[in-house]
Amino acid sequence: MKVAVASGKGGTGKTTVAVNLANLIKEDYQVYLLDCDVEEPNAHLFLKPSFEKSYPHTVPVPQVNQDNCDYCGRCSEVCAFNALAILKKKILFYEHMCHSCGSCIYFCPREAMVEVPREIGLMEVGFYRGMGFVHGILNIGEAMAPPLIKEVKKYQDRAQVTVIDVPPGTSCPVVASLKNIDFCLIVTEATPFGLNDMDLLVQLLKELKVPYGVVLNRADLGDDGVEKFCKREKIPLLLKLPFDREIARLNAEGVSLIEEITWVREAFKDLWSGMKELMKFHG
Amino acid sequence: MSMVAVTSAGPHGDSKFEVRFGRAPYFILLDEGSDKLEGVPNPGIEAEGGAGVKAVQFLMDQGVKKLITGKVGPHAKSALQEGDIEVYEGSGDRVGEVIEKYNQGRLQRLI
Repeated sequence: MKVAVASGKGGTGKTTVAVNLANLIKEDYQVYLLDCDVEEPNAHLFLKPSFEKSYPHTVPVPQVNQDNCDYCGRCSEVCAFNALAILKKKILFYEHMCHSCGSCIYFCPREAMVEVPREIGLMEVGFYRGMGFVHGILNIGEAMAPPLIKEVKKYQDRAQVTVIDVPPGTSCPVVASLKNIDFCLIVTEATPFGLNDMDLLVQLLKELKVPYGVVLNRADLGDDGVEKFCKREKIPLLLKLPFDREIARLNAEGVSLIEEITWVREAFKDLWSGMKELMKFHG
Repeated sequence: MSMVAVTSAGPHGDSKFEVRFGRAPYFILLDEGSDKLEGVPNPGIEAEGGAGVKAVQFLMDQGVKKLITGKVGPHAKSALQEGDIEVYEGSGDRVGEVIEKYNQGRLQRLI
């Protein structure tokens, strides 16, 4: 069972929900937590896993052999992302724009190009109290997160339940993180921003044909827009968390909320049974 | 005689001067010192990414040596430098007006 935790808007409590949910589920099942927010991974701050394996992740990019090149410009013509420019006797390659499609190499009439690996980030794999933990750290200044997210996602079929912490937004990194999942938990807040970005995410999930439910965080701060929206769109509202000083304090200390606050533990139990029901998961 | 390109919102001399480079809808081409202008669409505007690089490639293929525009992005900047294209910072409402300022030597060189 693969469960993603996403939000649209940033800062709604995705990671808090993902980490506490994973901590609860691991009491009954074998769990892996994948932090797909490779631009700003932070789930490890709450779980403090011990990493057993770390390795750089690379993407293939072209390298030009100037001796064979006659500057015909074919590679630049076929590059859909304008990562190559041929200026008379100069070849300019913008590596951050390259999507590793391989067209330049395939179409080069003089076999003047070869594929070489380029490092874009670091993978770390470890464990926390029996739970598998995986995240990727994208190198600073790197423009494309999806290739590294795909590497993190390779670990999503290793346990009975996989919890995936998804980056904010609704663009390519989010689509890559939501691939081949069974359920998406939307964590939002009771504000117009929370609603707007959640609406975008719901449209994306409909497109991807992934079932979903909502956690409304800081439900008592803001307005009733999200609740009205859920009612109108018949979206299951699985959990309402109030704004709570104790939660904020413990979370800032990186402490597991379900172990420290009884009512939070009960709330997450209800959330998990609600999710299981929606997923028809009785494993 | 070198060929000059000016970024423009439309294909004519009285079109609005465009401050963006990679996403400029048109380039107005002219031979330095001549009055004859030619408007050509910028293939860069259709690009998903790398519009500036594509636009530089296009200008190089056209034989352009000098460019008058407003803002140039980092990728386009390095490509313009590599391609030895001189860049001047234009200002004004209409393309014709900007060209006039250029002819009077009133535009500042950026690259």
